[in-house]
Amino acid sequence: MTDTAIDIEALRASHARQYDPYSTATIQEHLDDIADRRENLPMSFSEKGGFWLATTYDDIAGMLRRNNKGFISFPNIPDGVLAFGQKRQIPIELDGPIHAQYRKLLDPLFSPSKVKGMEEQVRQIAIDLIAGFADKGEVDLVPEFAFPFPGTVFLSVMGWPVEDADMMNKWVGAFLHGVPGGTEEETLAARVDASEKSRAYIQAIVDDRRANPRDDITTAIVQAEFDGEPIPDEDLSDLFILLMMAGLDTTASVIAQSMAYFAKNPAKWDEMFADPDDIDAAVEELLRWTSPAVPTRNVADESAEVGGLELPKGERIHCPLAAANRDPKYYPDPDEIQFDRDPHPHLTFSLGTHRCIGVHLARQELRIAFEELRRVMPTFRLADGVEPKEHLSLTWGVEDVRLVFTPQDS
Amino acid sequence: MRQQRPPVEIDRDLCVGHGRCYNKAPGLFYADDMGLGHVKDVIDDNATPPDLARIIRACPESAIHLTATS
Repeated sequence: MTDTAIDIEALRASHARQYDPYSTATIQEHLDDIADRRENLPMSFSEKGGFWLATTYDDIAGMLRRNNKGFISFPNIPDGVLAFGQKRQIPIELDGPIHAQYRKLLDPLFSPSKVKGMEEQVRQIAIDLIAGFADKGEVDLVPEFAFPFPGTVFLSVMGWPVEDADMMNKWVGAFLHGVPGGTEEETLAARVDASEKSRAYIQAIVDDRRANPRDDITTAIVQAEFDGEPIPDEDLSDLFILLMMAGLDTTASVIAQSMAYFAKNPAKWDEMFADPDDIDAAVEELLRWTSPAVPTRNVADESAEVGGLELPKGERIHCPLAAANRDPKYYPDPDEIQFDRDPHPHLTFSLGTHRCIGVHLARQELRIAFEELRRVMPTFRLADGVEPKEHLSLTWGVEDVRLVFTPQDS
Repeated sequence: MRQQRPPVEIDRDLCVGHGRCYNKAPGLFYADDMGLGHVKDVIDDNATPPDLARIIRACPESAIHLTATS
């Protein structure tokens, strides 16, 4: 590009500040650290992991928008080490024409009109799960609802057996969080085991749909062809695993973080339902505030500009979406939930070519989840002496939300 | 009664289908099979008068623009 080579080592050294994506801090503590960086060193380089951290809305939005235009999404992990030792994740780590082909296949399957047609099915799943604890007056909302709800919806819309939800949730847990409190070896073993079992499970479904096509999303994907060629089994398996993970942990995190917040801020729970026409705006604000996803982007051109820095090809930039969504430049008092904010767009579903495929399904699931929880839990609080345990890592979320409420007559 | 097309257009190179426009103002915008947003050619007379500035600001891709007034 130019004959002035970038002295990347000097640039890294002058912006050095360690960042731990797997920190054991709470989400708010972590966001406080990000706020300090945004103020003092908005682009920093973490020697540990070897990646840059972006902290402003403009820098992060700018990179996400430039996917395929100077940036690519592979590898989508800050330290660049593939999480499960496999190849590129389909479709989130694909770029260019092959990614466009996958989107052309998948987007219509999760379009607004298709998702609208799933509404009753989704609501019934929420009602059934809530019925499982409504008469008890106490619940750990994460295992009882936040996690199984999107998981069961996934199985149901894919046309897979919904009774497999527990098994699938365990695989997803192993992929994304390993063995909490366990050794690295235990985590690796759990992931290998989950990988082998989930692949065998999915292969059986793929084989079944080839032999017995049905009118469902799975069959549509299995029968798809790119340039006259069917999608190889291994790629189908990768795709289904990614869809499974992408829809579960993120939606679960938004529900769990939100309900933990409402337990401490009951007036907001009332405010959310004060005007039924405004519930969508309230869901948007909760999406902004919870932002579970933490993508990483990579410089693909000879160099690219981010936050005033010219970074050479191959540099990785970690982009916690919550960092963008808490930028006070666009959200005054960013750590506060305000349902009547000016609708400055949050980045929770990312931007550009990798915009979340499940955006319409997620919004519908969240609205239904909160509406149905409200019917059973008009008031609730955290159980005495248990603070929800949060985690950062590859999806920011909450491990338990133990709530107490007035039991409903069964 | 029908009204004229609203004075906005969607940049096809920028829209990726977040759905903010057709969710916030279904009387003015609609989704295609990919979930991409489009401006309706004619709008229902009884559609709520939209706050176009708000809808334009709500687009995550900044893909909606006012058309030049004649």
